Amino acid sequence: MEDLTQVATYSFELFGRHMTVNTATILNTWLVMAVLIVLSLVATRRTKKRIPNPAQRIAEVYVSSMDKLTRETLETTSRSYMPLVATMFLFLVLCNWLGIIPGLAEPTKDLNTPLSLGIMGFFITHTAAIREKGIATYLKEYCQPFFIMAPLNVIGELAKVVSISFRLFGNILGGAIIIAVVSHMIYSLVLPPFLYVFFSLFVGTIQAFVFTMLTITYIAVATK
Amino acid sequence: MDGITGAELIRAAALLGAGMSMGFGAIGPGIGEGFAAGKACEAIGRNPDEAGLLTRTMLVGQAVSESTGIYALVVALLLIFVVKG
Amino acid sequence: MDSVAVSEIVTTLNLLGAAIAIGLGAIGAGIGIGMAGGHAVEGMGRQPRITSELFRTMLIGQAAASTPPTFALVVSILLLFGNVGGTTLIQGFAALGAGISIGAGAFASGAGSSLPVAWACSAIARQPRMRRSYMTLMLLGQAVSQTPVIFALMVSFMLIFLPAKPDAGLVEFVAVLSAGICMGFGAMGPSIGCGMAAESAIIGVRHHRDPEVAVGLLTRVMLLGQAVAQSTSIYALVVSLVLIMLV
Repeated sequence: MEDLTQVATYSFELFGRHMTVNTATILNTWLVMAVLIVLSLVATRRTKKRIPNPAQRIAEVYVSSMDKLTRETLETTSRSYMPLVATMFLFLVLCNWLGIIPGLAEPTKDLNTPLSLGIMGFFITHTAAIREKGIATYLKEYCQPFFIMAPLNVIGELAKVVSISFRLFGNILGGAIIIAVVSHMIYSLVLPPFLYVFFSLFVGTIQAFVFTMLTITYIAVATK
Repeated sequence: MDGITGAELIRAAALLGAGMSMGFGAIGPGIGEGFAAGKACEAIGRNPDEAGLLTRTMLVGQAVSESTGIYALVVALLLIFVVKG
Repeated sequence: MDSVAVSEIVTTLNLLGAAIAIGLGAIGAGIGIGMAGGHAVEGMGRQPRITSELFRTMLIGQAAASTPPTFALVVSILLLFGNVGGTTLIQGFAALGAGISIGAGAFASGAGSSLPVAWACSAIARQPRMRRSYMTLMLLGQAVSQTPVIFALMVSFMLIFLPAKPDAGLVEFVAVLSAGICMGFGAMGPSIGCGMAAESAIIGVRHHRDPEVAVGLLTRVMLLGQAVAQSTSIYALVVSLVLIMLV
């Protein structure tokens, strides 16, 4: 159990403050980023050829289905959020699947990764809302149904960040804890591979999709 | 277990209250939001052309129903971090 | 309290936790799985030709719906024979909290995640050629409605493996117990709600004039609605993690 709470860290002093960096999380995130960059380079290589390579065909299917999904959810916004949505989903799926490889850990198991993605979504949502509706209408919506409710509405908006990031974090960490405890109890016989398939592949994919869908839905509701 | 001070008792009661506030406070919104989601699914099944409108209405209704859950969260956090006994 | 040793109190609390875990945890799934079986039998009466397919769907759905009580059983066995918890008082209270957490969580999650099975069986009896779509929708809905019980299991493992605290007093005892109550009862509402959403998604597909088109759309709406409905259980998770960290 101890390996779940112990994260490889590196501490240093910066501007008189004590900073800690979770080395394992950052290295795993960089690994995912490298895989994504290599995949997209392979998919976009020599796009002028008449017969596209398989990677390009898969990428085209993926991008067009994500484009359709984004269009259906965001009916009225003037900007396209498809690149954000497609990248976020691929990134999260690869992050959640990473734990299947021995020696690597899911970056989403560390609260910092989902929380920073959630905060990023929060800023994108509110920027989009102000851009679409203007600052006056945007501020007026916080005073619904009457002025006294404004602090609670603000808390409600902040709670969305908590719920979206803790949903992903809790699912991935919960899966990791269950796998660790069960492996410890039965000496890693037979069962853990099935648990990995369920928690990493299945739950990980669903949660990545839910995170992405919620991000666009928050944008859609805020800009409506 | 001897010598429980009044301050300790208040702190313990506050923590128990925090857990109960969030625990029981989550039951209502959870069922209610699930009910809203279910009804939206049924309505979309009957009238698929209005899927966008129905989904947005569902989300707004869920957000309103969730506000009681958020109140429970606020009360729980206040009990944990503000009441010092 | 002079004549009772601390280790005896801890053992008692462990036993109580084990009993609450499986005792509460088995109720919901017991009722729900039985109802699923009832709907399947009704469907077989309506469509005797597809008896074997209905039987297969029912068994798969029931197996998925009995995951939460299995979690409760694991926690219960750990508390009874595992010898994993410590022997200090705080670990005894943590064991009781772990039992309440997974017991209440599994109670509701078992009931919630067997709701879609019943309606999937009914729907397959009416539209046998859509069997695969209904099964996928059912399994997805069940998996998402079991998220709160995964949180509850996580909290109870954290409580069971809580390190010993020599200077723990009443406040710490209550904090670990409260963490268990918070997560257990907090998981109840969302998992029943998510089950209701999954059930209605299946009903929605059945009412759609073109069910094969409806599956994709309704899966998306269902996942979205369930995700939002779960957020209160996530707040409960946050509060109980804070309570555990405070100790």
